[in-house]
Amino acid sequence: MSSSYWLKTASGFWEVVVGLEVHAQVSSHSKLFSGASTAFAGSPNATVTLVDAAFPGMLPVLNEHCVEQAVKTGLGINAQINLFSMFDRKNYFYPDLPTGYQISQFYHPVVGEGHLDVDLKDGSSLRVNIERLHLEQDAGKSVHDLHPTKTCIDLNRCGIALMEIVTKPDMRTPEHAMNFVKKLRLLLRYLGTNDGNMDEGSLRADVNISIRKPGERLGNRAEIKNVNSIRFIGQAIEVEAHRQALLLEAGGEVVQETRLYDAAKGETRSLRSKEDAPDYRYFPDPDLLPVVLTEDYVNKIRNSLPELPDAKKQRFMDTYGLPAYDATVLVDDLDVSAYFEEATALTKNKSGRLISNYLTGDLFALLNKNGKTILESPVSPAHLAELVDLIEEEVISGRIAKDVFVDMWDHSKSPKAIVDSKGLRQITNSKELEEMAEHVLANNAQMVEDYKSGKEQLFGFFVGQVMKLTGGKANPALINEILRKKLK
Amino acid sequence: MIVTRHEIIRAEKLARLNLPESKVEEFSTRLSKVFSWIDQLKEVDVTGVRPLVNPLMDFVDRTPMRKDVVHQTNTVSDVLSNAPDKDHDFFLVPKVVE
Repeated sequence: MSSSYWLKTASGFWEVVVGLEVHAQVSSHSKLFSGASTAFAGSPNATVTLVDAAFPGMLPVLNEHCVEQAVKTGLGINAQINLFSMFDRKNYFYPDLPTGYQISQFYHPVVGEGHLDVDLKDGSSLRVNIERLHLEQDAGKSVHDLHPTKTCIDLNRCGIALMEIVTKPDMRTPEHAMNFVKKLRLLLRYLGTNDGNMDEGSLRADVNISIRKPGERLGNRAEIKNVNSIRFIGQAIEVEAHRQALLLEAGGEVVQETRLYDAAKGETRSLRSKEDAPDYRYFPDPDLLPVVLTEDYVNKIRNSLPELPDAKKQRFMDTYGLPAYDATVLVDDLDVSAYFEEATALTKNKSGRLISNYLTGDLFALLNKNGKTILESPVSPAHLAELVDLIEEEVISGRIAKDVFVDMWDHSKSPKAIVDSKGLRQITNSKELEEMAEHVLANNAQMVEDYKSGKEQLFGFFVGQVMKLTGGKANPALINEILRKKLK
Repeated sequence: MIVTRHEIIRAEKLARLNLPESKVEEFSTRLSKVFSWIDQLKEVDVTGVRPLVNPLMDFVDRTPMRKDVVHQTNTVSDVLSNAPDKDHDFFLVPKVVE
């Protein structure tokens, strides 16, 4: 296991063991078992059919697209696709679940074991094994603060398809867990099976945490429910592991229970203990027959998968010679990598390296400063490509290009137009440069003497002076060449 | 099989029923009979028999699926039509303390 992390308290070191259950809303137009829309509705109970509201006699009919999305995701996490799966009822009473049970897949999930490789900060990679992925329904929403004496129930979300992705307890640090969720979110976005939007709750995680002395068997775990940001996942692990260590050191015992992470207070607290743990009495849903898929069906989906983040990263490194870090930055955002590919394709020499440098350097800096996304960039991929061509064809120097870039940002203009209107073309006429060089050397006779008697570091000074005369528009290599000749 | 008093109370809790104390004994007796009958069924050798989830499984081997198309004919008022209490298009239920 790479990049180990040990929690240190009075009694020494502890190993932290983390497993995740990620709930991802399936991207679909309609719900898992009804034709109600999944789009955000402005008013309560607007996207609810009589199936979702559990009217007597209503029967669920499975949405084939949701099954396809689950299979697609399963293939993305390198998992076993189960050609036979079934739906079960998970029974519990809560007002926002009108049927009194959630339809889920307990005994035969659609996706079995798989794995996801997670990149870590130190450059190493961690394989997190996946136990299963299954389809289930989301519940409705209870609003407790709208009415003085009642709870208000909105069933708009009730019945929307979720994928629950369960990992093995393979993570050992907050970084592992946070990067796993980041990687999974990216993968889901590439696959188009979930929008990855944690703020709106379409991706959330239950975090299982236990600690043990190195080499000992797994301790009792606490489950932190519904953590809805990557940062909070990291914080919750740190806080909870610490709580468990202090508890054990004080002679206490970690009880298996469900807890809640309170980000404002920076603490976890008990939601319900094991004795109160619900008994869900899972049993096969008699309203639904088994889901039977074929190898052919799975292969069709496999062949239609888009290029996934790992493959794209490798391609960027191989094709354009990008360093791993730069490739990761580009791949981490689908819009950014699309921008990169479009701009690179438009350059004459397919200059991915230079495009990447400008994109992740100058353009990112201005986007950040102005709070814009890549889609709102005033510099188009075509303009950036044009700028890179101007540099590669030595029409402008890299230094001038920086100024031109700022102009491109401010006025959304083509770099060629800016270079022409401002007369920024690099001076490549060696005659003109030779005259300037002579002028500089004549005005600094003493320094020329010093240079010739061994103060070679003065060479840079002469280059600088000539560059100054040209207003920065000369090709530095050409100046070097001319000065070397003249100073011989 | 004997269904104990303890199990009746647990089932009552899980099913959100409110069983009068006087009925606990009676249900213990009645359900014990049902479970004894189930015990008898369990004696049948079912090796190799596929679990039957739905009698239809003998005729249709897989669940039918629908296209991912939005189709909703009912309205909010239909959905709320049986609600004992409602306001501003919400169902109202007794306050659930979190």
